[in-house]
Amino acid sequence: MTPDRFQEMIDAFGADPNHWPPAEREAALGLLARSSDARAAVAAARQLDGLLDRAPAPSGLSFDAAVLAARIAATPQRRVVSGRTNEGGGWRLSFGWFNVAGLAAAAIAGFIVGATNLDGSFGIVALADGVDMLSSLTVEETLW
Amino acid sequence: MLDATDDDLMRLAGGGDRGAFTRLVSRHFARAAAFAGRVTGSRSDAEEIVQEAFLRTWLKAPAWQNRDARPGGAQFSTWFYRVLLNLCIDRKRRPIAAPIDAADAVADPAPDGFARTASGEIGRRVNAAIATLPERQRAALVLCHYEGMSNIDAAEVLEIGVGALESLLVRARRSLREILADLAVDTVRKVG
Repeated sequence: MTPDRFQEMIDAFGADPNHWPPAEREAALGLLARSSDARAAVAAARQLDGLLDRAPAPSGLSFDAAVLAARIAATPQRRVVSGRTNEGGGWRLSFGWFNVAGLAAAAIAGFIVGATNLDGSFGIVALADGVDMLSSLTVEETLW
Repeated sequence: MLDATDDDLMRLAGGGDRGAFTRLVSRHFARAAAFAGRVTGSRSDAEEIVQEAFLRTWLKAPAWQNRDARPGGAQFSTWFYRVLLNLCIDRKRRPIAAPIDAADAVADPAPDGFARTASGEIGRRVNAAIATLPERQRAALVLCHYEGMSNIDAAEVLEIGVGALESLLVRARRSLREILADLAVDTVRKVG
C-alpha cells in the first residue's frame, strides 16, 4: 500500500474502513497507523462521509413486503417456449405472441402496399421483408 | 427457512413455493426501496421499480441457476441490484430536479425544532447534490456508501471493472465536495 494508492482509495471509498476494498483493507489500516498524512487524508474524507450520512433515506413505500409478495406470487410462473423460461415480464404476451407478430407483419405489409400504390411484385417483396424481419425477432425483442 | 440463503429461496420459489418467495421479498424489500428511492429521487418511481423488480424475481425463479455463484454467495443480490439499477436507469434518463420526498422539511413546532429543521436542511442539500450526479456515479455512490456493497459486488452490479467503479466514485465524491464545500466548513466550525 503506497501513499498514492491510499489516497486514491480514500478519494473513492471515503474514510470508513468498512467501505474500503477488502483485499486492501489490512494494508491500508497498517499505513494509517504509521502515517500522519494518511490520517489527515482520512480526516478530510470523513467530512464528506458525515454529510452523506445526514441525507435522509427515502420514506417507506405505500405497501409492505408481505402484500407485494402475495400479489406477485398469485402470478403464474409460465413458460414462453419449451425449454426456455420467461424472464423480465415476458409472460405478459406469452399468449399468442407469434400471432401478434403475424398480425403486425400483415399490417406493415398492407400499409406499404397501400401507401405506395406499388405493383404486386414489389408488394410481395415488401411483405416478405416484413415477415422476415418480424420472424427473426426473439421473444424478448418483440416484448421490449 | 430463516437460515436459507437467497439462492436456496430462489430455487424454492422456482418450484412455486410462495413462502420462500415471501421470505425473499421480506429480506430485500427495505433495501430495494431505499436503493430505488435514492437513485431515482422519487418515491412513486421507487414503488413501481420495486414492484417490477420483485415480479421479475418471481418470474426468473424457475430458471434460477447457481452457475455464477461465487464464494460469499452474493449472486442473487448482484443480479437483483442489477435489475433494480436497470429499471432506475430506464425510468430516469435525466438528472433529478428535486430531492427525494423524504427530505421535505416543515417547520417543527417542538422545542428543538430549529435544530432539527437545520439538520433537515443539510440533509436536503446533500440529497439535492446527489441528485445532480450523472446516474452511474449516483448509482455507484449509493451502492458503495449507502448499501455498503464491496467494490467487487458494486462493479458487478454496474457491469464494469473495479477500476472503472473507483473512477465513478472519485468523480462523484469530488463533485459532492465542491457542491457541499460550504456545509463541510460549517460542520468543521461547529465541531471545533
